[in-house]
Amino acid sequence: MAQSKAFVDTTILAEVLLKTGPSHEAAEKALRLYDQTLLPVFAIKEWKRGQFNTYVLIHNYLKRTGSFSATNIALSRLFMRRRLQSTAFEALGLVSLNLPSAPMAIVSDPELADRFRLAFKTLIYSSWESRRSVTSDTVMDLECYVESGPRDQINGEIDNRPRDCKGEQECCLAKQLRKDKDALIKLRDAIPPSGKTEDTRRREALKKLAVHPNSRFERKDCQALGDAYFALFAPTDADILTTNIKDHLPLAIALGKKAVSP
Amino acid sequence: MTTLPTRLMDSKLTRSETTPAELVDSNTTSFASPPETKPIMFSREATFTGSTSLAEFKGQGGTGAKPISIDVLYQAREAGSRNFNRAIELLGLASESLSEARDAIGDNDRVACASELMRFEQLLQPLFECREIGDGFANVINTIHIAIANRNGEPLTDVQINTLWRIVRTLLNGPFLNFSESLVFVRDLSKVGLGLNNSFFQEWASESSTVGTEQSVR
Repeated sequence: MAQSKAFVDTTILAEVLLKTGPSHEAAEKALRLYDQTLLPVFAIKEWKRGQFNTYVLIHNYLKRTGSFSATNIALSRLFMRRRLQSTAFEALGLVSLNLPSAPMAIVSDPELADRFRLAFKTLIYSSWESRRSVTSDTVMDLECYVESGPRDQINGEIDNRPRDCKGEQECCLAKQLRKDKDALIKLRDAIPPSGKTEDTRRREALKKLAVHPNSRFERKDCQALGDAYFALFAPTDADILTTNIKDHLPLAIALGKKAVSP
Repeated sequence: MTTLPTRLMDSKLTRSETTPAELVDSNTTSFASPPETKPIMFSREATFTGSTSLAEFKGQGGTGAKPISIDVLYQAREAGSRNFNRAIELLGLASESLSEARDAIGDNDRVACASELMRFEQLLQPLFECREIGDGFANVINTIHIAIANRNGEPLTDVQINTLWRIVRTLLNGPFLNFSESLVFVRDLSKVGLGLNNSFFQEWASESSTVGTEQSVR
């Protein structure tokens, strides 16, 4: 009997490593349904540049300012949050912590910053250590990417570099991708005309590979591939496991593959 | 909401006028006594002389690093020492409470067990206030504190109490953990259902999920 296989995307990795609650449990349960689960290093790279990097950014703000309040305001400005009511959000933070034997009035702003900083630091280092144990196998190492973990700096902040692959050489996936021009065209045509920047960039990256095979496929092009990577590289006998089924499904169908959501 | 003055909290926490070493439960096999506080003595003259030398060094194309004033260094050392002594005292009390809670479980006395655990929980806030002794120590205390808060008043299980007892006793023997070492304890706590699992961290971070990938982290 053939073994069931899942090709795991970045959203599942993020869900398992850094989230909690029902969606996290659903992702873990979905992984257990397969005999073999495959995590491409491309997903680790995307995760490290994305959600993981956000956690590092927050940690470093907390360390630099030593203040939950100042960090919250700084993040609101930086991320252009819709919800700018930082004071209300701070109150939510305090209530959320709900520490026993610690009346809210005695939890000072620097203490709250330290509590959050330590929690984020724990999540950062623990999730990094666990990244390769989320699935049964980690596959498709990238020649142009060094998978190195976060490091403590002397000032107490965390250094998350390198977040990207080496920019000085062409993307190591380019040669392999150019071999199947039909698949590239099918994927390009399958991207819906959503008007989203992400989709536009993906279409351009696929077009560059298919139509201009002699032009250099660079780091930004590889980043733009995003979801298309999983449709292109998933083994034909594997399900693409993702929480972002809306974007993955048309791409998978275009190549006769299957995308599944937990 | 009223704030408990630190003094009042201290007096509530102290059971007797015993030394930290005497507070360790009878099952403890070893105990690292806090080092005697012998501040490093520097004369004003020495400080002045040292600073002048550094300035001269800087003028000659040195590293440009600012010399640390002896006053600052001395205060930091004093604060560290105070925090260390306080942490050991509190950890002794915490270990004692958890030992009593374990004994109460053995006697099937749930009320006594709950009472000892409440005493233990009250120690967590003052323990976190000793966080200057190191991130590893602070991380373990913070994780325990948040994990208990996450239980929303649900009583701790026997396995959880045992894990806490073991970790607190280990901390008492050596509170100077580095952060990586503290993660071992965090994993042990997580295995028995005492994890960070606070959705607020996630929500706070996901509010930031629109961050551009080109944003500099450093």
